[in-house]
Amino acid sequence: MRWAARSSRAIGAVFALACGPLFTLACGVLGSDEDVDLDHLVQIPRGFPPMEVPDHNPTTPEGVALGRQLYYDQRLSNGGARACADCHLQERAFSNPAASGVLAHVNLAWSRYFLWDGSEEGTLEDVMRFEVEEFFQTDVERLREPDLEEMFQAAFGTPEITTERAALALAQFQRTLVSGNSPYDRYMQGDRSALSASEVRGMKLFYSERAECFHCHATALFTDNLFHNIGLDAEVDGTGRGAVTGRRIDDGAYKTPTLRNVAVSGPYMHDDRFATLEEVVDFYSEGIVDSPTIDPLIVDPRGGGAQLSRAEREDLVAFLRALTDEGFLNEPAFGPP
Amino acid sequence: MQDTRVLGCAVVAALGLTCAGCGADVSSAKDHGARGEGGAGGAPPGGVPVTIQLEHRVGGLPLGESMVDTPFTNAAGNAFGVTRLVYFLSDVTLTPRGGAPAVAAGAHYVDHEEPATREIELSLEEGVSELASLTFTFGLPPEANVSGAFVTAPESLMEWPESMGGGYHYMKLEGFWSHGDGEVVPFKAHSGAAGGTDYSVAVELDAAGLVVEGDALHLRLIMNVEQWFEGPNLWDFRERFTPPMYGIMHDAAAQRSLQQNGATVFSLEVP
Repeated sequence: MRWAARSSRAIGAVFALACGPLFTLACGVLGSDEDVDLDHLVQIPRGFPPMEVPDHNPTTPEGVALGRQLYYDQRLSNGGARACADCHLQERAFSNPAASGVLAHVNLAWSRYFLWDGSEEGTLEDVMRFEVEEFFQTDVERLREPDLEEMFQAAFGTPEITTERAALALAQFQRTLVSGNSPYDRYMQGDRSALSASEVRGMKLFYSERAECFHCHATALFTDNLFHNIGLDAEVDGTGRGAVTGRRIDDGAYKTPTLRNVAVSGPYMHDDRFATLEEVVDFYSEGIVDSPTIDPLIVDPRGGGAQLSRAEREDLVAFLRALTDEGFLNEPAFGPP
Repeated sequence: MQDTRVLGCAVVAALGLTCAGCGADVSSAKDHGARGEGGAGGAPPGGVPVTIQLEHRVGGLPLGESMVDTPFTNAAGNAFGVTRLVYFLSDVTLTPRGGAPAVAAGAHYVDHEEPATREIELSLEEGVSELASLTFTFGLPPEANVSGAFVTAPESLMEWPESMGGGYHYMKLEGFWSHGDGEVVPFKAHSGAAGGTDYSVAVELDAAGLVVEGDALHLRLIMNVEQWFEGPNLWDFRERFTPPMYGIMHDAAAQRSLQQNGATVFSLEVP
């Protein structure tokens, strides 16, 4: 299936109906007078929201290629010893088992708040600008080498390298990191063999108020992209989202991470306190700690949680493992260039 | 207009619905919801603009964050405070005495914490001098309450699981209440089409006597939150929300009770 996009001032969207499990979309890519083949660049899974792309940074093959190069290129960091991919490993859904508090880079195109406390807010371009200019403190002189100048020329029509253009390219690459083809997705598309009996039981539990997962890990993205105090600590003053907003009600609240590929993206929670999914489910079952700002969605915080049986916990973990998208974890286009 | 392009859309077209995010300014699509863009302020240009401001009160006082600290004691003696209130109103219609109704077609999402969502704009025909009624559906009517109708947040976050009947929440009302001996515990009163049964509320408010003066009209639509638990069905939180409390989304009797109480929840004022 191939689509082409043409420069236009009108906002447009293509309905890719019933064309298979994934939609390949190209509409709304502006800024070029030539047709652009966007196969494999951005694939929007069924049930996902539309992806917003700013006018000033259309997704192009050249821009994505540059973003991918920079993601894996240690020249991006001022010290020259770090690349994004050093902490964000594809096989771990672009998270890291060793680094502290690393959120997975999965479906970030639909996020407006970044980092656990949402202290970075805005578009992918905004947060990538933060990464380049503040986190990596990129020295553009280190990037001014022929290979990169050639890629900047291809992506932006000029070999001039700026931190702004580096951020734009990284944002384009991030938009391609879409994950939505797990056994759960195949089950929802009609393949009843895609989930085991235990996984189906776990799914039913997930979408019940007894386990109370779905209100926060909502929609096809498995996140509401909002902030909740889930009962990790009794003392929450000035922590989490509250440290950003200054609102007492936000104390102890952290961003809801997506559960897509959660089986490979541990350790879990903002402080990596849980090593396994089993520990996470045990926490929601029996380990909840009450606090003044705990989210009312949390089941029985004074009683420690949902009190799930062992069988229920096993089913829930089985379902969470069924959210793993092997294609995403092994897609060559997301790997080192 | 928001400076964005939209790269995709779910298969809502196949359902005969309008996609709120496709081919349109995303921000302006928010008000139109499941049945799309015929919507708010459908009267001809040059009419009398009407602004309906939504307010939320508990015991006559404005709902705010302070409700957590200064709870309201309801008729059953339960002291409670609210931390989250989001809901849908559909097909808000202002009918004048004589003349065509002004209709905001489709679903309007309201978040107590987001002022921009607490305003509905309509347009009455010129020449109208007196109002008759304000009507709307609290929640979503069955034909609009279809899974997949909303593809963007925050509306999409109102999804109601397929295993419970599908569609969307009508309302998420959450907070805390005092469970005796000073013990404060959470409650969540989520309403929707439990088991696929329609529990939306057809609300009709008498607007007779309200006069249209000048070149604009401002109305205040008030949700009296405590009424969800008081009239005609009295809810004792000790019976509904005592831990371990797993919610009422599966509870047809609770949904029916909220539906019946919904008739007395709203009132209309002229500021």
